[in-house]
Amino acid sequence: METLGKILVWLGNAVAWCWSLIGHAADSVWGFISAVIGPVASPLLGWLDPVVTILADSYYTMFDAFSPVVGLIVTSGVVGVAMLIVFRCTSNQAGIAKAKDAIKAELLAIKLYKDDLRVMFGAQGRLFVATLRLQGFMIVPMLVMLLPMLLLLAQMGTRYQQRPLRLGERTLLRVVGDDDDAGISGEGFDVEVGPIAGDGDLVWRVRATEVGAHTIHIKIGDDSLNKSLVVGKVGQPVSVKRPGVKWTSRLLHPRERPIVNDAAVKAIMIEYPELDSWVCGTDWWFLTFFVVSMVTALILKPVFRVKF
Amino acid sequence: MNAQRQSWTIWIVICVAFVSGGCREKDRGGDGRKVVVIGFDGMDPRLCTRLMDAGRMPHLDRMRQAGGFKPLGTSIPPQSPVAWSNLITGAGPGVHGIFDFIHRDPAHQVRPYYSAAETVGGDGGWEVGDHDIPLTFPPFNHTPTQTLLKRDGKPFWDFLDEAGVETRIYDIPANYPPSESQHGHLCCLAGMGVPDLLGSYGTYQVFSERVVREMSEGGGVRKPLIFRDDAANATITGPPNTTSKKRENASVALRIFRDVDQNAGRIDVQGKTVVLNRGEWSDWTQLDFELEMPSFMPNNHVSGIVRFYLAQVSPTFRLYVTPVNIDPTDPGESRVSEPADFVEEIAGELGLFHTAGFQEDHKALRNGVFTEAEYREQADYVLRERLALLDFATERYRDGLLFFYFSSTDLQSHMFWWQSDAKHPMRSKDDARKYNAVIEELYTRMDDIVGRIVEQYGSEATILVMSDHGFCDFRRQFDLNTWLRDGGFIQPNTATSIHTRAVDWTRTRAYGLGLNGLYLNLAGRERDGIVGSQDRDALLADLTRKLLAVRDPADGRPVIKSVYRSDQIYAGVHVGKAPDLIVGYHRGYRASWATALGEMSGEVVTDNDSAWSADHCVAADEVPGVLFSNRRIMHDAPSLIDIAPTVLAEFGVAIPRAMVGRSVFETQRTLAEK
Repeated sequence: METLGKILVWLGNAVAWCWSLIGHAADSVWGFISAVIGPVASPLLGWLDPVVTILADSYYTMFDAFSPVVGLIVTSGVVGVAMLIVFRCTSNQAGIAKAKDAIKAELLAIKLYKDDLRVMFGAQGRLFVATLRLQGFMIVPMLVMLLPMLLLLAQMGTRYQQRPLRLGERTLLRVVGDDDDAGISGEGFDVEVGPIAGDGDLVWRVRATEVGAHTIHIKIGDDSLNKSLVVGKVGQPVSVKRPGVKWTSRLLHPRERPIVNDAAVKAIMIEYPELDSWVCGTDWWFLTFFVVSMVTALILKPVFRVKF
Repeated sequence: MNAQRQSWTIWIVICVAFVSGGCREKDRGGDGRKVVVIGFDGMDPRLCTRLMDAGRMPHLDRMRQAGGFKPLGTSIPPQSPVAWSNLITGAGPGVHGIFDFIHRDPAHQVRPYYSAAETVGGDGGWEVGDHDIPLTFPPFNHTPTQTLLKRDGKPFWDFLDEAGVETRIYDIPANYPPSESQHGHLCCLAGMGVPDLLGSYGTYQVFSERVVREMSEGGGVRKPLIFRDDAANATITGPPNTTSKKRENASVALRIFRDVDQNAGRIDVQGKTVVLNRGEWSDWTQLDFELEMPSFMPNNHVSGIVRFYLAQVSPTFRLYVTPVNIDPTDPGESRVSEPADFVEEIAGELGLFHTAGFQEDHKALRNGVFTEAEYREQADYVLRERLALLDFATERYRDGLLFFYFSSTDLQSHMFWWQSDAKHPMRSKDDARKYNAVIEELYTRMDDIVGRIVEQYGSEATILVMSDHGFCDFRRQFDLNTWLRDGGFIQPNTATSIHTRAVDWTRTRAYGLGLNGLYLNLAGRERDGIVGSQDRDALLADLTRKLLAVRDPADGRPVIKSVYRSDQIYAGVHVGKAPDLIVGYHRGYRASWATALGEMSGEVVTDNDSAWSADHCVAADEVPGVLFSNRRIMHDAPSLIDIAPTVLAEFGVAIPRAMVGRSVFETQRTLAEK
């Protein structure tokens, strides 16, 4: 038992070491991809984000009178239909049908010739190839849908991940930057304390005093910046972060203009409370979106004559 | 087709199980009857009477006018675990086995332990390096560390559970871990007795620049802080790692920043930031404590909650952190409610709240960590939390029993009560009066709560408002062990503690432990016992006579009012565990702090020098509790053991023979007629 324990501890250490190696490798790969995509994605998002935000705001006005759940479910259903149509138009439907037929044939062969090892292994090999081919047919539609879906999910996240502050509620405003000479002003909130400097950031505690979409004016060093603050009912979009120039950050936080590269401030954040309801709470909205859109697509698959 | 039908059946079963799970209605009994019991720990009948006479407690006064008020006989001794156990079982300590806060194990001579619960260390498991992996199957046969409820006797709610009466119990003391429901009609949140994550009954942590090295004090730990460029590092100590052989405590790192100009501070912990002005409390903050496991296994995680209080920024920075409470949203293996997920249901509605049994941090006030004003603010927060919990309880209550307990009347009284003109141990006369007024104000708030309950349920429910004991000043302390030593009962006369080797047990005949207990060093019971059974009665009589003759050297007043012999006042299977004598003090006196743990100080009677300036561990007839009801109370002298039979009788449930009390709504005559 003692030896087994020692072996397991050694294996555990080895796995932990490999895992950390994989983590570092993944970081390097992602760094490389980011460096390649960044110069293209940043200006593209600079153009797309404001447009998509206007479109999303216009679309969501029709749900103003309803609970956020209604907007979430309708939007997920519509996206399910849209995905179906895009998939039909961008995928090789004939190729998919052929690959699926091949899979069925090989499965049948496995069932019929289970006593014949040669046929069994051959069929399993061909089954594997057919499955890979089927997956290959998904790549084009996935690539086509990737960017619109990311933009859409980012917009949905601003509505369903967090909620606006309630009147009288407190939150923290965090400015990431090294300059300690800072102050904030604006309507709709009181500053209770701050800035308190931490490790590379400044934090203010503010209290919401008025319902509405407000602007916090931040003066830090020689820079003047703004950050939105939303106080009011659930369902209004909130911007948790005014991002820096990093494209991934811009993708996730599309509602505010990014901070220019040479400013003393790298990002500005507000801690909005998580939206905690059964479907709209943290991460649940995404699961709801996934389930509703997929179920819609599966139900309407025969109507649109789509194969996948 | 069959498979399809089967899968539908499974789904239906799952749905039904889901709908009927947790604290939901089951085969209901009780015919829709309602009984509401509000327990105010330590509410005193004398003060109630005075405030009612002054028109300051109108709702309780209305009950009094209608014949619904009597002093409620308390337990002997009048200590909360004993008293609430009397209430829970409808029987005395001989039945439930709780005789004091502190008991001793005679097999180890005088080893003390908390009477109401015992933590039993884990055993077995697979030993790998520095860990014991908790594998429960042979040959490892691991048993986990667990806390066992030591209160014996069947609680009254078990009878209600059997009869199908929906029972909701919030914060009841002396019921941790909560007893399990056999029929699914009980929801119970445990109260006094629930430990914090460190396994103690409340250990605060104070971070201060004035502390040179970490030091423990009764109820807390002081830790040093060293600021560099207005930033400092610190760690909050968390639960012990029970799988580690070293049993090291897990900890969470803090980064603390101060801004002297703004008189404010900031705490960064696990990705969360708390910003506080001086004198401000934070909301509850969740902390994730990681317990290390061997490298081939994932580490364990335990979630705890704390609140921060920024006591001071300059000239020296001082930050108080509450005891690490069990996280009610993620209690893990800690069972603080029955059913286990009831606490999560409450937290889902109310957010985070105190789960530890002692919520008002009286130890922080006693140790000078809090000022009176700070303690009052913290206690007020506890009360606000309880009121939110009461709202939760009443919103969900339809019929059956609703029991709700408030600790505020006890723990605030211990620290603020001062009814006499004598000098207070710590405060000036004006301050003593000022803080005593806090108690009166608290009583009027409690009266408002009763008013709300009466308004909500008065016409349809039997309402009982009760307390387990009353209160009195704690002016002078009696050092029982010093008195025994000076009288030659403890030998040699140089001994300073019954726990040291300095005590010669071959010549020691009696010793004190706990707040009211006096034990003989009995042959055949204590490991080193010397008093034979033939000498027992004579020794007890001698001790009783001498104790009753004790006079305060300061003014010649008698110190001890009653001395009870346990074999005469108790009956039941546990009488053998009881102290041989129970010492009942006069008002104004109590056992000394040293006595409670078996220590000795230099003098027999001294001033109480603690902020804990009121108490109830005196003679039982000096501190009865209160019993109010919206119905006429017919019992001439109701006591705690009558509450359980009263509740059972209200629901038409037969009163078991183990309960020695009777319904307070019946006279002796109507009972005899039955």
